[in-house]
Amino acid sequence: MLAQYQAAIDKYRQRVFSFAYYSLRVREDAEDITQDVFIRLWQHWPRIDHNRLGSWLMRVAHNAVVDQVRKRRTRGFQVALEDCPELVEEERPGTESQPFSQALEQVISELGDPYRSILVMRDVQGLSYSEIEQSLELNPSQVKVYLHRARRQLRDNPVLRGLASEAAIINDNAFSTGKRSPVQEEDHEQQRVKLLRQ
Amino acid sequence: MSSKESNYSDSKHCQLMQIHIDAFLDGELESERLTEFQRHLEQCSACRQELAWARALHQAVMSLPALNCTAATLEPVERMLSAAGRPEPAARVHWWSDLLDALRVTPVYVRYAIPTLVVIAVLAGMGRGLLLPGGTQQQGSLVANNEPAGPAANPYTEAEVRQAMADLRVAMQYLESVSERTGIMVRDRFVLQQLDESINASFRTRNGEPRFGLNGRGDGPI
Repeated sequence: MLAQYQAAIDKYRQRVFSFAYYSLRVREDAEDITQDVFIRLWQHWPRIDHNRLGSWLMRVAHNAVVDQVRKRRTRGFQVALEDCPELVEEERPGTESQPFSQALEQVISELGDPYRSILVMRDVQGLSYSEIEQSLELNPSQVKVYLHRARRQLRDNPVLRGLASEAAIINDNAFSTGKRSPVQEEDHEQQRVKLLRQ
Repeated sequence: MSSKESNYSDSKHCQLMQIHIDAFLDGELESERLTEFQRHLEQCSACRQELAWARALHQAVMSLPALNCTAATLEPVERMLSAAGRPEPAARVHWWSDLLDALRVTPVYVRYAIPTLVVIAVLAGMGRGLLLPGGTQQQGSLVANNEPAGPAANPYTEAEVRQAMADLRVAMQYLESVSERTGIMVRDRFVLQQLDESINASFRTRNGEPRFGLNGRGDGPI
């Protein structure tokens, strides 16, 4: 049993920690949740369906994240990038200097639940739809609808759009017409102004 | 922008196309819709722009690194395992910790549903008590629903109930006797006396003298 438990820790610790980190963006909180999840795994080990161990772990992690977010709301907690730069600079070779990635993480962590959880599980962690359904006890159509809404919220986020325009991330690679239309120029300028005001 | 392009760029058509962007990026768009989607993209520069943005964002999200916790994170777990050293997990002291644990591993909506149902049930009970006047008294009565009321529900003793029934019987007999005296026959007519006269008459003796010394005011108690 101990060997199986250790194997489960080795297999799922990264998944649980990543999920908690991208949901909360505070390393200490993510570590606390990871600890808590694996302690609960030990306590519930005899009663767990071991064929769905990953889903069980993600469900417990999701519940812990929801609890933590609720605690933050009651305390008026808010993580700003400039307040804790060390949190985003560790373990990020190559991406830590990109404000777009940092802003993207921030926007993801600010999404409501279950949009945030589904987006992190599917797009960041690459879990299958069935694993997400089992983890969050949702049906397939709900998962797809929530994922679509989460992606739509990211796409419509003005900060991300502004940063992407600044970094020329949106460059119409596949169907490029060569230059922006007057309407696009106007939209681009409006986004720039909005970003500067923020 | 050509006239043909502007026709394809109307907001309704574009919104319809943008619904399919996710399915397109996931490679899940059916062939018929895929053809329609691609045809629209060729005509609509705004949707091409939107698709490029969606694709760039999708790739940026997918390229976020998978993070791992440090070894120190799971030290408490390792300590717990070495301290336990047995196949069964350590028993916990309080029953409510079991309950809280069970709630933590249940889906979120179930966790919210249980207290919500409890609150609804309590409110429904309170509302029923308010809407049914005397509902609580009915439960405490002696003959409610032909069910024997418990000792806690009945505030009167058996002797008190018997005394009250006897008093009621006496009162009813008195009223019956009064009502008999209020009606008298004058020749062939049935005449009703005034009730107060009849009652006052019952306080007089046969000779017409007042009983009990009631001669201070009028000739009777009423």
